[in-house]
Amino acid sequence: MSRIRYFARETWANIRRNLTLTFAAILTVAVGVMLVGMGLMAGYASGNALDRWEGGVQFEVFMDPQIDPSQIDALGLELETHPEIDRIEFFSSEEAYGLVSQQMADQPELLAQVSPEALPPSYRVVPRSVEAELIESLAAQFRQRPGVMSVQTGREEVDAIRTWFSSFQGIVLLLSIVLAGASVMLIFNSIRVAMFARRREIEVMKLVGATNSFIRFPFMLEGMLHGLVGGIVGAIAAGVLRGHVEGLFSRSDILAFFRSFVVTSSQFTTVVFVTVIAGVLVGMLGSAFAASRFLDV
Amino acid sequence: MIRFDNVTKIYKGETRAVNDVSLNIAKGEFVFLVGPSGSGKSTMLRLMTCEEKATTGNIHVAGKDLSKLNSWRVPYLRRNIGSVFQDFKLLPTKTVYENVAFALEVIGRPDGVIRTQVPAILELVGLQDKQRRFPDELSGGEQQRVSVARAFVNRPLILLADEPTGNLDPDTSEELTSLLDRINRTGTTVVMATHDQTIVDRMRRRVVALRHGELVRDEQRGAYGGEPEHGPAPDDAAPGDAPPAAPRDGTGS
Repeated sequence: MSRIRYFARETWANIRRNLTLTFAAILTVAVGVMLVGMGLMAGYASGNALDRWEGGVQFEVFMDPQIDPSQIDALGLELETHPEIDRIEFFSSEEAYGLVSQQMADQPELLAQVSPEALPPSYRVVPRSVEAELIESLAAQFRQRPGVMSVQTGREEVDAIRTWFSSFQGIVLLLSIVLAGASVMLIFNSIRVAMFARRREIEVMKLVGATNSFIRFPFMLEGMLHGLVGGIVGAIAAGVLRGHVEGLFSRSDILAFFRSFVVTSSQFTTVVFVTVIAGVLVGMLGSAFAASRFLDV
Repeated sequence: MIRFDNVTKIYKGETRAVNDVSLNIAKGEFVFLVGPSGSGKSTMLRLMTCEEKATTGNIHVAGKDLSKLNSWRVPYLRRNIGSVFQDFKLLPTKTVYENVAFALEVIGRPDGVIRTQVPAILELVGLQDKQRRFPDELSGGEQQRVSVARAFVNRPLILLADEPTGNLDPDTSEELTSLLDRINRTGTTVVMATHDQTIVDRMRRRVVALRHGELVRDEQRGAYGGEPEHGPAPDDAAPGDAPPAAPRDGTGS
């Protein structure tokens, strides 16, 4: 009991004693782990969006939602019997709405603006060939048919987007490594200041035979707390960012791709977990480094 | 209890602070370590607590060979040694009670032990009425008694005192020495490094005299001066002889 009370008291006293440095350390950790979260989410979201094209070996034919249903069926039959087409899948307006409402589960106010009738019914077409050019020419045959609103092939966009995202992730990863380094150094420094402020206590502790681990523990705990708080703040920031980006993209008409640019709840849980753990690790590293450097017998 | 075998300590490769000293202190002895500034008294004490390692020679303290002691075991050695300094080393933000309790707290003693031991030791040093005072509200003599209480609260086998009366007036010095004497009578080995001729001459205990890091005299029931040719006159050693002194440890070494 006396131990727990001692550690709690000393750690709190340390944090209170140099609030500005603590604040700087926590903020740096927060920005660093937010970048980690951003990189992860970009990866997840682009993965989710790209999954719809299954590597570009299929294309989608979007029908005008206003036309007669018989016209839609006629085109479906034509697609199905086409010698170069393996199989097709039909998505009615209602099914499209079901998909959209899944993706926008977190934004009910946005979803409310979408009505099932406004969404185009579509055919997902899987050709026999996987050659990009053949798929392109096949897709072009259907582009001018009456009742067809648009035909989307994924390949080039997919490749371009994939490249764009992997370089984006690379930059974010690099930045987060730099910030992680800065966080470790800041925590190292703030723990060093805490130790300097308590050098008389430390001197007495050594004198009366406190073990090194006992002396170090409150400082390690402090560094870990910096990391933990920074990690939590970073995770919250990542969550806010997620909401903004998804809100922005779900309204975008530039590319259908971006409409499926979402992070699912379970993926976001992973993101939160990783960012908080990253924060704690950074805190532990910085304080362990300081403790081993300045607290030898 | 404490044994030095041909111990030499060289600081920074040139300053010979302790030179080929052999010394044996039995359990329950009271020993004065005397000598001018820079004669190696503080270094002797720092060697005993493993704050410094002997350059050559062997030191045994409380049955442990210090040259073979793992660094992680040093704290456990120090729990057997109480230390008192000229500058008290009390924590200004803690009360008398908290200063003494701190010594037990940081070696993981349970609450119950702390609650019974701390008042008992404060009574022994005569400060039971000043438990809630802060160090700067006390006189020098009282502060030093707090530091003795802190050093002794864990009932160590050995009590080391480095110039404990250096900042005290003669009357207070005498009080403090008689406190150390009482502690010694409980069976604790006491080693006190001092400049204070009056105390040494009055107590008539074993005197070990150092000069330029060498042991020049060791007599039972001795006086500060010993043989006339050694004289009590202050002898300032060559400045180069002084080891790098710890902060606030002005006269010690």
